[in-house]
Amino acid sequence: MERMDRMERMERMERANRMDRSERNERGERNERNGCGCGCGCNNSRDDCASLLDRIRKIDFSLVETILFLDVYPCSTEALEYYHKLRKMREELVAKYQATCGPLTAYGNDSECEWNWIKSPWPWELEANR
Amino acid sequence: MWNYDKKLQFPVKIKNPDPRAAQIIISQLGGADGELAASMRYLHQRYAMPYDEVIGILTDVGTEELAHLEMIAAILYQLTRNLDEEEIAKSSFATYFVDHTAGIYPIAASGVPFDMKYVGIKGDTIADLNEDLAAEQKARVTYDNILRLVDDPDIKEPIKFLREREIVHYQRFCDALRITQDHLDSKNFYAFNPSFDKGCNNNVFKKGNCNGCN
Repeated sequence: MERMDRMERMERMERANRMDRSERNERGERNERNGCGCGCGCNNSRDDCASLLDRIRKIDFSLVETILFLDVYPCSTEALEYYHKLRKMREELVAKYQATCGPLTAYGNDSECEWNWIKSPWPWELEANR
Repeated sequence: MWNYDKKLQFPVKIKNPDPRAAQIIISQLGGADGELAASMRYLHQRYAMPYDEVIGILTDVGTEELAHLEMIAAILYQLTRNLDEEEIAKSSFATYFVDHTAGIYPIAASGVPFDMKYVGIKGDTIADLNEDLAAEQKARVTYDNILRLVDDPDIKEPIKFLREREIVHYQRFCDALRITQDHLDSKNFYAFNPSFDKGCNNNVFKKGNCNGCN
């Protein structure tokens, strides 16, 4: 009986090691709770979230470029104006993303009943980059 | 201190695992001219720097290099998923796999683990900035070489992005060097070490407000 359990466990482990973490999570094989089940307000569709995140990525890139430029040209009023324009756009997008898709930073966990910060997928997984 | 955004700076979507490509690309993780060396170099050089603009650019480029480190790790992670043991055994990745399986370990393609000896921090403003210019060019060349050796467009997209960033960083460090020279006497840039010798620091934001730009 014990031997059967051990073999089952080993088989499961081998199978799990062959799959993406996000796949395993869907099958409930990952050793963690799949959310508290209290309705986190993460009600936006995956496609909408992917598209929102993509827009945030693009704005953040422009922001980084502007920041690096301002670091060595701190007196450029044009660059500073552009920085503020981008920042305002970013604030709106990030607020929408965090309200409906999940937090972007650990400080941005809008849900008061679920710790969505640690939910898969993580940025290096294929799922997070569609 | 550092915050973490739960997203890659540029997306990595690699459909086909490829351990041979991983074996090559890993140099940008743990190699002499890779992203870990770059981030450690810039983040540690900034402490001795005398000018706000130089400290600023080293802080922000150093932080961006950490984001690039994460991208390289993501590329390696996606290249080494769901591997067949026979595939691994046949590829050059086998020598990495035996010690690290599919874990992500900062090492060069040659098998030499990351080493702080790759990072030059001389504590002299001009020497350190020149180290940074060279570092960005070497990183760019490494990406050039990766692009020669890899065909998959899914891999090439993030690599091309990272290569372009190295070129932009080079431009910004050129600006930092120019700013440094502007602070110094052109008759002798080496009269003293601005990172160490006191009393000669003229920051743009001397009074800490925007009027300091005039």
